[in-house]
Amino acid sequence: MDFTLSSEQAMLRDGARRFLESAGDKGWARYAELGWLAAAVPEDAGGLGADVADMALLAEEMGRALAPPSFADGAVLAVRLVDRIAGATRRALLSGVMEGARRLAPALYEPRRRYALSPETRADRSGGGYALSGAKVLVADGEATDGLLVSAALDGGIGLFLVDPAGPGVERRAYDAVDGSRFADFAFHGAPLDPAGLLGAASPEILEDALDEARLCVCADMLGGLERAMEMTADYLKTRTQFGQPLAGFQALQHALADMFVEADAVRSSVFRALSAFGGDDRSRRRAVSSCWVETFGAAKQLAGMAVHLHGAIGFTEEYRVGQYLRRAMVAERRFGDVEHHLDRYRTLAG
Amino acid sequence: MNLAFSAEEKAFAEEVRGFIADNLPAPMAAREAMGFHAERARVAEWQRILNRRGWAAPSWPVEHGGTGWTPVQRYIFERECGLANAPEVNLISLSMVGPVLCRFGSPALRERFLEPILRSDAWFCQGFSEPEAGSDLASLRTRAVRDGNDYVVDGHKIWTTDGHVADFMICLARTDPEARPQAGLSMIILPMDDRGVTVRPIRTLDGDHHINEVFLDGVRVPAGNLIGEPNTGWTQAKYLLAHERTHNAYMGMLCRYVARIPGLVDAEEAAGLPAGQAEALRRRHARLAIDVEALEWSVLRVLAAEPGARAAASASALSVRGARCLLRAADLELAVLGPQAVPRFGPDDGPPLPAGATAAAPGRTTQYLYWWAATIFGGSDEIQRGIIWNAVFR
Ligand SMILES: Cc1cc2nc3c(=O)[nH]c(=O)nc-3n(C[C@H](O)[C@H](O)[C@H](O)COP(=O)(O)OP(=O)(O)OC[C@H]3O[C@@H](n4cnc5c(N)ncnc54)[C@H](O)[C@@H]3O)c2cc1C
Repeated sequence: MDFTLSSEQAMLRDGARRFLESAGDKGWARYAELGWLAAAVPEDAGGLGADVADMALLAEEMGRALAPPSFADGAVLAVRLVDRIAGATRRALLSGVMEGARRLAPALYEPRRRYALSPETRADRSGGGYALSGAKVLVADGEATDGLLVSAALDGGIGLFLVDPAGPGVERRAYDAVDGSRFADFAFHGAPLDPAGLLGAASPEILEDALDEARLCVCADMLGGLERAMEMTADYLKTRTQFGQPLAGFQALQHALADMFVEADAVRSSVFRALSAFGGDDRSRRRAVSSCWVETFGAAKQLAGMAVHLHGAIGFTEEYRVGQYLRRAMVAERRFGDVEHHLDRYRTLAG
Repeated sequence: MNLAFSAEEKAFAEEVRGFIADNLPAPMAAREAMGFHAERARVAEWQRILNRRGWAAPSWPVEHGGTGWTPVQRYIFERECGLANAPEVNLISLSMVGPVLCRFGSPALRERFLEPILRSDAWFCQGFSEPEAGSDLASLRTRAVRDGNDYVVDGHKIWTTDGHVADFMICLARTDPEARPQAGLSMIILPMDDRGVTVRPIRTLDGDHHINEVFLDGVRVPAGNLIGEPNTGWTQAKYLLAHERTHNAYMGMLCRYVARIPGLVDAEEAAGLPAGQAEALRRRHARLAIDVEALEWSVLRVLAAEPGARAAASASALSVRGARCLLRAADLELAVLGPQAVPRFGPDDGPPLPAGATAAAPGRTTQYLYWWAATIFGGSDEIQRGIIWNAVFR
């Protein structure tokens, strides 16, 4: 066993950190130039075929830097879904993603159905194509997307459809999430799709498996953020003076930070463990990802909240960055299942 | 990065499992599973079984009788022993005194003690703590004064595990009262049957007797019993305490808990525990299992020496989380047992007293109470937090 980053991995991390800390445009187009949108795309489709450990490294840096959180949706989950499910259009779609020309947004979850992946959204055959009815919620980048990846019931199974978010019969409602990122909900009123709109057949298992890599990236993103929040807190305590001395001199505060380290270190171990499971069988991988989700988000708000607490009132302001990690945790923990959901999944998968 | 157990490591785990299955006596495992402190005779029997296989001292260099295992193999061995309800070996002899003698001891001391330790004929206790020197160990007052070819040791040790059954004490004593506290200490080996040694038992909360007070009154030992150069004891003590950096994660014990609790919940549900409560307890168990999984990978990260300044901090984090998980695990068992966890049981009290109580009850309260000690010994949680602050944030 070896936890040392390879020189390529170290370069990836350092390069990502430099770029994300620098001033200037950090939009999706720049991600494409850097090759980050090609990372998850398999080599046979012209991508870099990066493994999940590289993806997690990138995600960790994005979390530290509070970069737009939709990378896991647009560059990981969308790629996995297309890669697994799309037939004829696979290559074209993936090159579109890599070049930044297409921005695909997975739309899997539905109103009042928690994290169920068996869709109630329906595709009915109609005039050689399909008519789509139903609704999807919490679509990251739902405003910027030019192609929704919608799961819908079809002929007793599940189909994955590529849907134009501005097309006829599609109603979009965009909104801010707690962390300031943009989401959208969609309603489909018999939206007409041509036959090529069906990318391929899916199943809850296929969707779950495609989600696992994105889930791990969300956990790694959170880990990066939590570690950064701890560093900021330690730095702040060293500079803030009260009672005639830097706050960092008070043992109660040192120990509070040490306790945060203990928790964050467990999250880091859990992320490594889940990464290792990607080399193994499906059941172990699913279980390890859920284990990691529970470990990460079982701790995240408390950790990020303590970072706010230890800053005093300045930490409570919107302007001061440390509080953003708490807000990010509140969104991230509900993205692809939450602690209760993953605890159940973990138990269901027990031997 | 390579984040997988190798084929050799997996085969090794199989080999260890097979050996334990074939060689650990069933009554010994059953007694150990109850959770009462294992006494010397029982532990020695198991150590002798291990020694016949050459596995008594995994942490020693091969030339002195060690196994040549990698740190990860040593961890696997510890975990499998724990899972299989093998008694914990005498860590003071095998994981502390042995390695210190291999590293710092004279040829004569090695000759005299290493082989007997392996055969379980020489049993050590650790005389570090004193009434006025706990976390602040360097303030200890026991003195060893050179007198001709001997040292004469006077002082008062306390909390000495196994002091009442040990043949020898590895004693940390002051040999230079003028030097600064850490610089004037030495490690010296004392025979416990010396006239000047008086052992007084201390009964502990867990209802057992395993620690003692030890009075040292003019104990005369040959100067050759002092390990290494005089006044280098602090370095040796740090080496000794750091030797099993990941032991305080208690992975073997935690794996044991995680493995057995579901069966206990099933049994109690069959005996009338309401289904809703059983479900809640199973969720608590899953939550614990997930934390233990993360803890295992923290152990592996420390063992595989993940690079970075954080290694010391990670080892301290293990200790804090290990004790916390043990308490949660033991408390979960008490919750599963409910009122059956009220009566006090000794190890040999026979079947549970209340009519219909499960045979799983004895030992559970003892173990729960004992894990509070795990928040204190081996560097208390506060001391570990101090190490973390210094290593990561200061
Ligand atoms: C079951 C058991 C077995 C033991 N076996 C042995 C043995 O075999 N040999 C041996 O030598 N010793 C043994 N010990 C002793 C053990 O090493 C000490 O208990 C330990 O070092 C703590 O010292 P203390 O008990 O004097 O507590 P103290 O040091 O007095 O600490 C009391 C409390 O204050 C906290 N504290 C102390 N210093 C600080 C600080 N600087 N900042 C913040 N908080 C602080 C501690 O965390 C603790 O909560 C054993 C102890 C137990 C419980």
